[in-house]
Amino acid sequence: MSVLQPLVSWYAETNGDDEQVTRWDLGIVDASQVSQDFTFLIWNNRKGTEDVPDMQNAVIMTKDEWGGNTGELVEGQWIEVKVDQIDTTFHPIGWDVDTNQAVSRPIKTLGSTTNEDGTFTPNVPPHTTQNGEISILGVKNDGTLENAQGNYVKVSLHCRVPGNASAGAVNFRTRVTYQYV
Amino acid sequence: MLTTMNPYSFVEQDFIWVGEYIDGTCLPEYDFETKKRQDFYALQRNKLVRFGLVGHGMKLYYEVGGGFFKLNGQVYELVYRSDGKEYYLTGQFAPYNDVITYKDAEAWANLSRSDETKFPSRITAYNFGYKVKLQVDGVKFNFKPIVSIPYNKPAYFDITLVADRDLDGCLVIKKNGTEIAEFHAPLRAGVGGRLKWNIRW
Repeated sequence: MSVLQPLVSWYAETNGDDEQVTRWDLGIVDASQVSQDFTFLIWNNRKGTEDVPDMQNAVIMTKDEWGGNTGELVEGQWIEVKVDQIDTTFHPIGWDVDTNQAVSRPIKTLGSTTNEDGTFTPNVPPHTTQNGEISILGVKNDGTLENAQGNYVKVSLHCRVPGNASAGAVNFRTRVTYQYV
Repeated sequence: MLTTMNPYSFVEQDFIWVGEYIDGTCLPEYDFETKKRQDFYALQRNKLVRFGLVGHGMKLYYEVGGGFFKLNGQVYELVYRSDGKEYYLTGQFAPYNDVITYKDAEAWANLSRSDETKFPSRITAYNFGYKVKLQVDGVKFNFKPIVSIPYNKPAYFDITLVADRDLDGCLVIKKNGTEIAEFHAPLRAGVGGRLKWNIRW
């Protein structure tokens, strides 16, 4: 028996079983312009048949392609994020070179998941924590958008390229950090 | 139990938490026999005598009676000193049974090009400690010490302290009864102060 931990996966917002997100093509974005929005789902334990731990205090940030904090896209906080149900506008994420700190945004769901054991909601007992808040449930679920709303967060990203950006392809990574018991 | 058990994790996770009860039994994160994961929230706090992490040959825990940290067999005490007065934050007659434990973890995605490795998820740190409300010599404290064991970095104490009045004092760390570190840590009434201290083993 292996250890139980949150099982994080990313899916297109239409949530098809074969629509795991492995790529976001920004396309060509001209300087001084914003890319089109890219919306996806961050799941914990999608279609899981046994409960795994809840994700707590989850945040999203960007990193360069080596996992560091360099480059225009990260340092310039080009990527902006909007979390469904939580945010009413887009917020830049990346790295603040002045304070040497990651610039991140909390991700969490307000939805509930119903499975054969009952209906569960983040931050409603028994899914509470004494250390911050529950972001995404780990309870088993059928993986549908209707019944498993406590198990995923819907996130939109876009890229805002400043006028003084240098030309060329920019690679980056997205990092979600979280805690669990 | 915590003091006598084999200090190695027996599952594919470097450290596991263990709560020890007054009757000598314990609740480990994974059952010793069945290897089944136990629910942290099922921990019976009123029966708890010790809580901590076990792994890599180390036992890192605290005593519920007094809140003393015992890390690798060394005792750590925390004291707030102001105007020549020592407020012992550990060692008070209070139940230090409001246990905290969590793992820091991360999941990566490389969205700008197809990533064969999918979205690896991994633990970056193990944490344990407690929070407690204390009244020491007329001063009310909210005290939350957490021991954090990150990968690729030294282990550290992450200490949060709130007092109900202004105090211009120092946070003092004692190891085996000897003062080994002191930090100027002025507190304003009702405002939390936070200190990270790399543990000196």
